[in-house]
Amino acid sequence: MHDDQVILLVEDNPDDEALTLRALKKNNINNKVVVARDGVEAVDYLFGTGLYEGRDAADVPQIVLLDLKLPKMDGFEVLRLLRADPRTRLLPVVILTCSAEQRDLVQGYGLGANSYVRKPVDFDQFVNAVKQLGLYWLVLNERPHSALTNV
Amino acid sequence: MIAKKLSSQNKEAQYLLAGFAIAVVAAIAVALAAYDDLNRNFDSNNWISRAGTVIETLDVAGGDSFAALAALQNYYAHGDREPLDNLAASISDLQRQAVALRILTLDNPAQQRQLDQVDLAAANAAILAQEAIQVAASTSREDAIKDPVFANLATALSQLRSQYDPLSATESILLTARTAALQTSFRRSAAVMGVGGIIIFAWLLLVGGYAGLTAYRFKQIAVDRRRADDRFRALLETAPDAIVLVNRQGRIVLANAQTEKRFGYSREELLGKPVEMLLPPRFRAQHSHDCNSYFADSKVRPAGPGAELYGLRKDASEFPIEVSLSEIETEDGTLVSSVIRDISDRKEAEERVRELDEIQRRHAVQVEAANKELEAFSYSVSHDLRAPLRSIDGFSLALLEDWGTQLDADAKHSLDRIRAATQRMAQLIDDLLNLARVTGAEMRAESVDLGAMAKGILAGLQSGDPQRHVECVVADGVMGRGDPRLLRVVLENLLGNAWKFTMNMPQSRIEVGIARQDGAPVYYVRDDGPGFDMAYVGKLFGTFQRLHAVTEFPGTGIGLASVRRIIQRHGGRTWAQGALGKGATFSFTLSEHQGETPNA
Repeated sequence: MHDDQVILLVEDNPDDEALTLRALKKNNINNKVVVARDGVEAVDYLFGTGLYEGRDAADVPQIVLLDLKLPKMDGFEVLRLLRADPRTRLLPVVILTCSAEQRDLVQGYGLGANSYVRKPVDFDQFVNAVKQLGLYWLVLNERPHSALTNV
Repeated sequence: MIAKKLSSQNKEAQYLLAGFAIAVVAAIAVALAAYDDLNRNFDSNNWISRAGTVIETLDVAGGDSFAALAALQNYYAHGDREPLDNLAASISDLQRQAVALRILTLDNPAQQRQLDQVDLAAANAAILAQEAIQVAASTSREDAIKDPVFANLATALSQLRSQYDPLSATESILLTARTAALQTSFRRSAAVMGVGGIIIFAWLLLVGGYAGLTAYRFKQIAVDRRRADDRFRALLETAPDAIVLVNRQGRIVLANAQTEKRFGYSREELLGKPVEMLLPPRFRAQHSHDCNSYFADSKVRPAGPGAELYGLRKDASEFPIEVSLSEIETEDGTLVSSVIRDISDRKEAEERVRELDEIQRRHAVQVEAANKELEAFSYSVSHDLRAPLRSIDGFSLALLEDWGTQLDADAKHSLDRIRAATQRMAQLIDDLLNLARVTGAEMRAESVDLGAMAKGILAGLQSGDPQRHVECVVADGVMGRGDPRLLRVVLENLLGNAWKFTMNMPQSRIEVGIARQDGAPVYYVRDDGPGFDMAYVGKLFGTFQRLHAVTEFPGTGIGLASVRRIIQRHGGRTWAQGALGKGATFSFTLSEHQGETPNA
């Protein structure tokens, strides 16, 4: 695992945050996890604005785990802004949510999400899902190296 | 058309008049010709009768001259003096007759010349007769007859007598010629009058025939017109609309029964009045203006569709009307017929349709709002209701994992039960959401191969439970019409149930087929599982209704409720048959129609 690579977890529910962190830990994913508790905070982190004023926006996280129902700015809006900006255009985004509504799936993929995972109620299943995600996005998946600077 | 007939009638009358005039002229001409002929014939007749007189006179003269000769001979033979003495008088008679003949034959110079000879001979005979009478008186017969005077007298008398024959012959020829001429003339007159008469008669026959024919045709036309008139009136009176005829001055010249009925006036009250009396005052000025323009240019149609127009009844109430105008050419000039339709009913119906539309629109808005609300609710439920469950489950597991060593078996069991309950709650939420989706989803209607769909679902179930031995029998040609996505939910539930309830059997059978009931297709899913008590059949399709304990068979009791909801939305029926230990059969139809009309 690449410890230097940041995972941005966008999650407003502290329970879910704790459980997700627990699931990551159980799967030995030891990357630094930055938690944004609403959409605005997530955008600020990614673009180095507001609360994260001064942060280098070129330093993008390895993956974003994005909930859809968020205060202030919802997940779709965050995704739209990410995909509209050249710096985060190719950033892998996994939607991690309770909803299994068709229209949420369609809209999520339509806006350029890379994956859509429904959080299972059964924690064992959730741990398994996080394991799969980590394996795929943090290990197997190859990213274009200079994509961000070239665009 | 009537005007045309009238002009043709005039022409025919003229023809007839001319025909009769020709006949009269011809008759006068023939009469004149006949009169002329008659006059001429009368003259000829005169001549003929005169010739008769001449011949008669000549005959008498001939006779007289013969008598004179006879008297002379008698004296010669017997010495009778008396006839001899009368001889002078006889010759004198002959001379008078000659004068008469001269007068009768004045027109004929030849005869006049012959008469000159007669006169000469008569004069000679008269002188000789005087001498002979004197001789006879002076001497005896024997002596007297020796005197040459007697011989001379005989010669003179013979000569005189011989003069009459040529005269008579000439006159006879004349008579014959004149008679022939008269006959010819008569024949000609007869021919003129006869032929003229026949021609005139024939002509009169012709003209008379034509007159008769014309009279018959005129009568026919009159009958036709009366019939047309009757029909027109019948049409007018039975028309469902009020119809008024208006003249150029805007006065009503005719109104039908409906006009009386609709407007409440009697016909007498309408005739001759301005048509504007049937309109409310606010329309009158415009209407009379429109009418004038209509007369000026019939393309201008006042009160066309779209214009709101009202009629005014005698009792001053108003009603919506629609007027259509058309021009009618009549003997009395151009009239305008106004067909006035009472559109109260239509207006009312339109109003009602508008109201219904409004109600429907409001319902649609309400339904849409309800659907939106349901959708929002579903969304909220799926997000918010599940989140705490995840926490309960997750932290229960964390407790077990982190503090497991310090918990006793009871505590661990309690945590397990908490986790089982959250799973069940999550399943309930998902099923409820599905039911909500089934209720609110948009429906399509297309042909669906239910058999193929069932095979696919059963294959899926088998692959999820590879160790089970289930004989799956799907009939051929199980086709239906409906929403494929919703029908899949139906089959998934029914087959899922069949699969579930036969799970404890080493060998089981699931059958999918189609039957006919009153000609309509009935689809069924049959299993040979534990079945159910028909006493509880009413509870089968209720939401959250279960006939088995969860520990016996898992489930939330929403599946069959969804099935019923979907089939209801298709207009079909659902029912179940079964018995404890004898398996269960779940049947459905897809359209109410199909059940009612066997041939549909």
